[in-house]
Amino acid sequence: MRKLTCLLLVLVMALAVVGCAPKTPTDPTPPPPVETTLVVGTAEISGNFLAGFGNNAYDVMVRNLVFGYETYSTSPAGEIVLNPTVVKAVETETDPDGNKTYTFTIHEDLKWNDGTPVTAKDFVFYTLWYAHPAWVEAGATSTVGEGLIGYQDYKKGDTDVFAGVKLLGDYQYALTIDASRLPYFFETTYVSAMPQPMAVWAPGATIESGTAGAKIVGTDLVKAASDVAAGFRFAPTVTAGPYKFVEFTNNAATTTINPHFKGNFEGKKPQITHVIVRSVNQTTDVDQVIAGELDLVTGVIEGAKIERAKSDANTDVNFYARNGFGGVFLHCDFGPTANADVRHAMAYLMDRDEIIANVLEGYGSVTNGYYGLAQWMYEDNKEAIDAFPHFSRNITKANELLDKTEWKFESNGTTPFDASKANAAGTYLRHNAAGEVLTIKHFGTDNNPVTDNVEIQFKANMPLAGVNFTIDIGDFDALLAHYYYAYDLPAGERKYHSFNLATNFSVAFDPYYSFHSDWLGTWMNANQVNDPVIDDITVRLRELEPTQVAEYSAIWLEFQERFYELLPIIPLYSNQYYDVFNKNVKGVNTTPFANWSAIICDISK
Amino acid sequence: MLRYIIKRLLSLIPVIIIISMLLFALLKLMPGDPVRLMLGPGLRAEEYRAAEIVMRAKLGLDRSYPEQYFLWIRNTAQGELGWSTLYNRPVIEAIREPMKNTIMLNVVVIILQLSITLPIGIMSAVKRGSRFDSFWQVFSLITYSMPSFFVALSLIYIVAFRFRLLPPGGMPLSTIGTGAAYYVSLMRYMALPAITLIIISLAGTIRYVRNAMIDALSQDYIRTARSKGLREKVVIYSHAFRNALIPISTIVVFSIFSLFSGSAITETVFSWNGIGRVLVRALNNRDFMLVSAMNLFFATLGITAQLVADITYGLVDPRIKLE
Repeated sequence: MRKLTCLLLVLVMALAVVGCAPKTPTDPTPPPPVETTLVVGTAEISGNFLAGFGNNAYDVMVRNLVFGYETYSTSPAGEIVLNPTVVKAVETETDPDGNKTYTFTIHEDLKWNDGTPVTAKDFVFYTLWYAHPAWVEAGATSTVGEGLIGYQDYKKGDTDVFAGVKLLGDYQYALTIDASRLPYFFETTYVSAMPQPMAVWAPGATIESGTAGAKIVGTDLVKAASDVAAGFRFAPTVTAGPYKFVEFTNNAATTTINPHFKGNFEGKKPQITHVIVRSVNQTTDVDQVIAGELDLVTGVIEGAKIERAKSDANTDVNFYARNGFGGVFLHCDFGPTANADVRHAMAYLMDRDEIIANVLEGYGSVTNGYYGLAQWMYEDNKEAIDAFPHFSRNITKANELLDKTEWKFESNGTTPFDASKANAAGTYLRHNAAGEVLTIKHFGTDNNPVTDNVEIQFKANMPLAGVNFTIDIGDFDALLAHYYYAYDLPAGERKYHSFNLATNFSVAFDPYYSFHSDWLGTWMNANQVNDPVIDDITVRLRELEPTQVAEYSAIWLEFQERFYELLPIIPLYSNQYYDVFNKNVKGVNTTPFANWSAIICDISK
Repeated sequence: MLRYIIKRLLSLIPVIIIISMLLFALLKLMPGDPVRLMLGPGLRAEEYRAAEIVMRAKLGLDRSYPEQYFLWIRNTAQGELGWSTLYNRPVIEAIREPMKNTIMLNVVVIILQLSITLPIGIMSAVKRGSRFDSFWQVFSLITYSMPSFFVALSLIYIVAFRFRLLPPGGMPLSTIGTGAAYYVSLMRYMALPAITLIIISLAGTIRYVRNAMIDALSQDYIRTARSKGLREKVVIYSHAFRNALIPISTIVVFSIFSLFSGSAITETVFSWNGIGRVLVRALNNRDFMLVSAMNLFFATLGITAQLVADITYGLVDPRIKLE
């Protein structure tokens, strides 16, 4: 017995000793007193710190800290601007075929965080690497290089030479946009690049460049891509951002200032010595700021938490409108929602203000189209946009709209539907001539207050217009399958007409990819909009020279007007995001286009 | 004994095979497509198709179900637990650190739990009906009926936010350094999750030990020992406790095996990067390989624990013959 007890105790103690060992030895030297540390609390970080492996917003924050020297940056105001810290000169030239070449000359004093120089090779390498099929084989996704000459052939692996890329010298390279992709209002997005360390990712490799284009030689790219995907992705050691990656352990990414960083697009350098991004419980994140455990949490939307932060003497907040919105997303090719009048009627069968009050606790606003309140186009066209009729609960209006559709009969398919007989119990419903009931099947995600509120609103109001409303609630994965990939579902499995979702806009607002009929039957045009007018507008909107700002703004308004008419999405709300931070943290002037990590060089403590 | 162990081990093989088949079938029945979840919307349509094909092949999802099953079993047997779609890396890498954290936390919890519950359980049995016993009976009832998240959030509110004595969650930061500072920080971060787990596990163990001791103390040999004039300490610890150890050893064995299984709720509330938290995330994100690997591991662990418990009976009680 004693032996057994001893054995058990020894086992327990041995495990305790093994379990308590620190994972990685860190620098034992204590930081000098002038050093500062910023601790930022986020939701779960997945640890993929290289673009191409998922789009976790918190991974992106770490990427923003450690990667840098992009040729084009996004300013806090949401403009795509040339980065003069990196680019010494840029020249453009259009050949007789209409192909447009951007020749970049970069500064000679750029360095990686290990002190080695950043050269044009690293910029060319970026495009050649990300567009190479070996990168896809390694499990990464990327659209880098899209728009350049020879992209398709290179991406498919038909050739190892990328025709649209040329290395012209140690500090000069050129990228050529295919004429078929021009004009394009956001054409600089085709030629934007961020250097990656060729010597680290593909040791022994070099760039071979000639008149036919450029290619990577001297290495097995499949193996190199696999190695990067298995290693550098989780520990991006050699980078050129304001901070150096130190480690990612226990859901906390630690970075330290990069002494070789020349500056961001405004020439600013970071001021805080260490930045730590750690996953925290979202229920208590603001309380942790108040308690001094964290310096900053970002994107808070819950009213109660915002109020707590506002009322604390040592805590400050900064808020901005979300560059996006949440709404009821509709399939325009399936069932009753294929009819625009039905979609409009649905918009009149809910009280959006009540949803905002319930879900956002007042911290948000309603929009009437496919735009965000922070977009400059909205500011430009505010008067016209704000004059759009505001959707609010109006049963009479909904009935009028539905009377224009095929769903205007009683159950016998001949007697006209009498709106006055409709009741909350839903015993008197609309039918078409074939005797089919007007039914809207909705899918919402679980544990989502928006789903709850949409259900309450539609269940209460739809029967009053003779509409039978049903809802299924599931996880986000199931929603993806039914919303984005409905075109791929076997016949008979498709059953939902509407979904509650939210979307954010990128700075390069190009609705062509979301609503043009070129993308019918793909996940991109998920609403399956098939409208020649929208097709025309979205093409005209993109096929502008970057200088045609006024034209872009005018066509944008046309798009909004047509969007309003078609209503593939019923806009519900646009959040107000709050960043909560200790008062000793200065410069947290975040915007809808630049979170704290994008403006890290402005933040001090 | 050796024959018994071999027989039991052999009998485990079909059990594990059946469990693995059931697990595989359940995971395949779950709605959702891991490849689409992994890729997410973002690529251009034609590139999406290409990436989808590559990814499916990489994960082996382009094969038939039987092929997928056998591939999974073969790889698992070789220590390759597959690819985590959630963490975008091999499962073994995704769980290495959380597993270590879970073991670390559980070791502390088990040591403290046994150090507290064994003496209290024994004392409660010895002083049956006393104030001491009544207190722990009531305490056990209260803590037994409290959900762990309630205990956790209450501790966070009182200890971390109200009195600011301990951090409300997370893990020690690497900037703290190593040595004493690291361990102090580790203990601070571990304190609240450990206290929560101890509180919620106290009730069951105290009552278990108490009942085992009451049962042992009511035996004839205890009366005989007392009538022989042995000291009460000797009666309790040498006679009663040794006999009560048989049921208690089950708890100890299972506790040791539970070192590897995390506490999903407690780890999540305290952002303790443990295996329970990882498993919850994996389930929510349809990470089939991670969930199946972990479930198979836990199932195997459970069966092994049962076997070890049986063997322990034989060791603890010479009257039990294992054949």
